Amino acid sequence: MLPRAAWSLVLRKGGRGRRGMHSSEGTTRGGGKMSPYTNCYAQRYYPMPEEPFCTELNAEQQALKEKEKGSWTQLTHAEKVALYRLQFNETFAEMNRRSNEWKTVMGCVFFFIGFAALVIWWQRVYVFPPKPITLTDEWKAQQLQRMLDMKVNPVQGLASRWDYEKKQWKK
Amino acid sequence: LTNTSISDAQEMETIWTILPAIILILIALPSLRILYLTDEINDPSFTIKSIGHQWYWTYEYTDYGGLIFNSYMLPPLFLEPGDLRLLDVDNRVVLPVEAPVRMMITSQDVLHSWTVPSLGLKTDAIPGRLNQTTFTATRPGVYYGQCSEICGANHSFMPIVLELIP
Repeated sequence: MLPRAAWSLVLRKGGRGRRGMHSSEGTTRGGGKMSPYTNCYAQRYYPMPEEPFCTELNAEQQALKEKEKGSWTQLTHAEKVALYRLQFNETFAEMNRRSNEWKTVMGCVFFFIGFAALVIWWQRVYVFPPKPITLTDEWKAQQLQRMLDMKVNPVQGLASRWDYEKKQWKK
Repeated sequence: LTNTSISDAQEMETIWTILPAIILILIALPSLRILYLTDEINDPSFTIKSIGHQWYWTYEYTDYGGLIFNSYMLPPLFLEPGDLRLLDVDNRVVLPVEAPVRMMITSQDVLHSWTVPSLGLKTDAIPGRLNQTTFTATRPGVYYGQCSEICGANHSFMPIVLELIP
């Protein structure tokens, strides 16, 4: 990219060079500035190109430009569209068009989430040490019984929710 | 698109600087008074020294005779069924209820913090300094706490257990 841009600056032959050709191939073909810079004006919030899109006009386009200097009510719709296309690269509808990029993005996101899930599963099976004995249900039940016997937090906490007469949780 | 209508509001800016400052001062003065009131005088019955080490606590009961002991966390293999992992210790701090107790807390090596949340206690253990906290417990029972100042590899494994007996 960089050498091509450098060469194009060297080989410029007066005026805007190859960039001014209004062809159907696109603007970045054949050198000129790098693509971010050619299209930086084609944003909804900055639709202000520095120069007309087409500067090398053939005879027909030149005649149209002369006609533009007169009253615009004399221009047909097709001529107005042609003049617009000479001045600007894309219409607002074209520059704001949607793309399918979101599908790619979401696909990659889900792929990596799935990959992370695989890694986590593998860790659980092969890496993590065994759980402490205090996390078994039996031990937890004994702990809870001990805490209720000690009457921990009897005002608003755990023991306050246990009914000591009926030996069950309060409803 | 420039902010010609929202610049140079000198009066408004002065008001909304001075007025909150006054409000904050009005909040701060009673608050400071309350802060010093909470350091009340309660004439404790006895005094216990609590010294933090890496990674255990030493308690000294020196009012009536000399009782000094260390309090280490029980390793998981030494737990009885129903014990609390990472919380139970071999020697608990035994205290009477309804007696104002003064704890003098310090450290032997690095910063620790002596905490019993259910009694509202947290005091840093700073080497070279004696910090004091007083409390009066009203309910018998066993109260747990954990060291609350990062102190090395086993910072999570030096709990504090108070056993209050009626």
